[in-house]
Amino acid sequence: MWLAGGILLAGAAYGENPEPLDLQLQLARLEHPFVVIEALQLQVHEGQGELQIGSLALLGQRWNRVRLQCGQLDLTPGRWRCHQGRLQLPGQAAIALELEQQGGDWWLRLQPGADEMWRFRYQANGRTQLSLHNASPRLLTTLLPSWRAKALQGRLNGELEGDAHRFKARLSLSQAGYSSPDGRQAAEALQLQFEIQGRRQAQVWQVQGSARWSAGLLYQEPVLLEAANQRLRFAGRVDGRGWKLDEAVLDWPRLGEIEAQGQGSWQALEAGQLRLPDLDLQTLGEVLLRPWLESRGLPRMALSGRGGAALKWQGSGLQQISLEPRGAGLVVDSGRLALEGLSGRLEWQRDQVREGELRLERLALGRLETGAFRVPLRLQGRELALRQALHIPLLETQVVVDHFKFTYLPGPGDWQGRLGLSVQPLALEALTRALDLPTMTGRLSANLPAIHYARGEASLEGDLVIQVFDGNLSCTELRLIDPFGPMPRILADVTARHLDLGQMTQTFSFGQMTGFIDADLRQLEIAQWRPLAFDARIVSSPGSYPRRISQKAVENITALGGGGAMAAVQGSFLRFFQDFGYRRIGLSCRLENGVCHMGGIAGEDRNGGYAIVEGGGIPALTVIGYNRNVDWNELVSRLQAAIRSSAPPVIK
Amino acid sequence: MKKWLMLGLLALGLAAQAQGNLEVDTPVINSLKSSMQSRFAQLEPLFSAGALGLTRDGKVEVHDPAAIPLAQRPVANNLVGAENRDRAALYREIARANQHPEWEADIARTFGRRWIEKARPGWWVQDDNGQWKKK
Repeated sequence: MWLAGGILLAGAAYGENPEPLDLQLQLARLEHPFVVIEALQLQVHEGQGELQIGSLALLGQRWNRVRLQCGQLDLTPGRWRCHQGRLQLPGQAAIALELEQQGGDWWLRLQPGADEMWRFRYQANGRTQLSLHNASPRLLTTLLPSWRAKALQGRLNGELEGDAHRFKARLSLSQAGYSSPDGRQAAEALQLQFEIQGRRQAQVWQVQGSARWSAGLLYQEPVLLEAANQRLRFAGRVDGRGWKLDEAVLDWPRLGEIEAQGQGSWQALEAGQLRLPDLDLQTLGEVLLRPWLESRGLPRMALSGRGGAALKWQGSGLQQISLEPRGAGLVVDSGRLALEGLSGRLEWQRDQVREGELRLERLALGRLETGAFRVPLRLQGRELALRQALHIPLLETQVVVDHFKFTYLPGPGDWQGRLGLSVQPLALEALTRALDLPTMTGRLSANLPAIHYARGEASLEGDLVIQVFDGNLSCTELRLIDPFGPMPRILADVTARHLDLGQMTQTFSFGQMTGFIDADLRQLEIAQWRPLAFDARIVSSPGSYPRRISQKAVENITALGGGGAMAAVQGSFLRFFQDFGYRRIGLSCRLENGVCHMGGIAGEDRNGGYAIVEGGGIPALTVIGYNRNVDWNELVSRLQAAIRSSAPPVIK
Repeated sequence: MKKWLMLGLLALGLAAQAQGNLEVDTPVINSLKSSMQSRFAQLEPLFSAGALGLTRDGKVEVHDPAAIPLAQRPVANNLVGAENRDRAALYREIARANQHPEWEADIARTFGRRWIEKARPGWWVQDDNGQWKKK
């Protein structure tokens, strides 16, 4: 407006003289809150005009030596027109333009490129119109060089019009793209349609509009979103002090609706809320959660079912989060952990204690599956805790979690917490069947009153006791390393007392043995259900009981001793008997880096060998091993082969 | 002054000790190393294209996402995530195998220097101040 006034003045001055005359106009400096012009020169010579600006400051940018040339300048009273004009900004290709003024009306046509047109019309009554045909971002990046780095692309078509009381716009953006200089935000081949309209009441603009995203990719590291005809509609208010979003609804096909409300000043968001009333969790997982988790090296997760969520934000930060899964499911690492039928409601509120409850139909850890149970929870600050003991049905008994409390620590320490649990006596028969192991009878129970988790490591105070083969097996010093990492491991010390060899050998088809053994496995380390290390020792239990060993068991024990083991009896002699008497059994193996360092009954090493079975009774038999270092995998496969086939090993 | 000297000596001792035991070999370390080795074929072209870089704390970072076609960026992010998961586990495991879990960060930095020394010319690496530079 103000600039128009300035040039009008020049036109009016000329209008007083009807003769075509040369004209020169010079202005030293013009100032306006938005524009500062210095050293302006207007020259008209034989129907051609040239406007030169020494320095132009507009939209925070500054240009030196701006030139506007008119191939033909028509100046008649009340009207002037710059025909075949060219706008030259320093360092930029010239932009073709036409500019016309008649009375209070202005027309401006810019043609920054081939098949591209910006038509601008301003009427004396304040009505302004802009019509765009294949508008490219070039004009924008010319005016705002800082946008050049965003590598804007695309074509904009449509109309904008308005006056002091109302406006409306209908625009469509096609083949659009951008990339932030660091490439962490980008878009490609975008196709977007918008419609927006507003009306002014007193000092407030009521605005409403809609948008549709029909093609292209949008990237916000680490998430890549794909167009799926997402539609947005919104309504709000804008005034000099700030804005208020009464409601925005994003309809995302397959995912669901996302509703937003908020208000803020022009500097900051004051309050906002997001409601996701009913989302398809599978789509949410695929589109948003998975890329986010996997880029942080967390295991692959698949979600299913439906759920709702809401978030509230206020100037000081996040105020409230609520989650409402409805029959949701989660599978971690293709089945390492699975949840099914998760429902309930959980709420977190800043500076408040909130109680909630989740219900779970099934929890599966590998092959182990639980029944349905409830999880009553309390959330406070960064802390998640159990309100009451948890009773988890497992194989006709239950696991009771007495307490747990987890705290989220921002930074690399992530989660830290403690829990206590006990396993009520559980039939081994059902457990071994569920785990697809040879069926065993006995009972397992555990009492782990204090499990601590910190820095990716869980240490378990207490013990796990298994009553099996008429004896007792207890696991202490239990530790879980990196339970959520790439190589989760279990560490434990195992002590077994008075295990019935008869039952054991029958269970594992190891031939027939009678007697009892004690076993100690120190520093047992297991990963992927295979032992990585241990220091093991098996000895005959003290006491008086029958001690017999069958021919098949002898064969299998010699196999255990590796290639060098032998039974110290004549082969022909061995064949006459089905079983033998023995006095003691002893075997040790220290597993280290895939090699088992073997030994036999303590103090019974002979001729470079070690006694595994010391003979006694009639007929007596002694088994001696010679190979002290046996490859563990070879040992296991030889043992498996020996158990499978009844072919006798080489006996000298 | 004396205190500072003591601290310096302690730090030196720690570095020397950590250095000495970096080659420790356990089944977990072997498994992590082979997982990283099999991933390298996918990471290598991304390093050569300047998309990924090596940080001074022994990790891999997306240095210039723009060097990766948009549709491929999530794949690259996942590779980086999985690689860093293995690397973090490796450093932790080496610290544990040395009976000094608290050495984890020092071991990560020592490995960071090693990876950077081994990096091919043209790859992006971080200097001691965390600034990116082309090797």
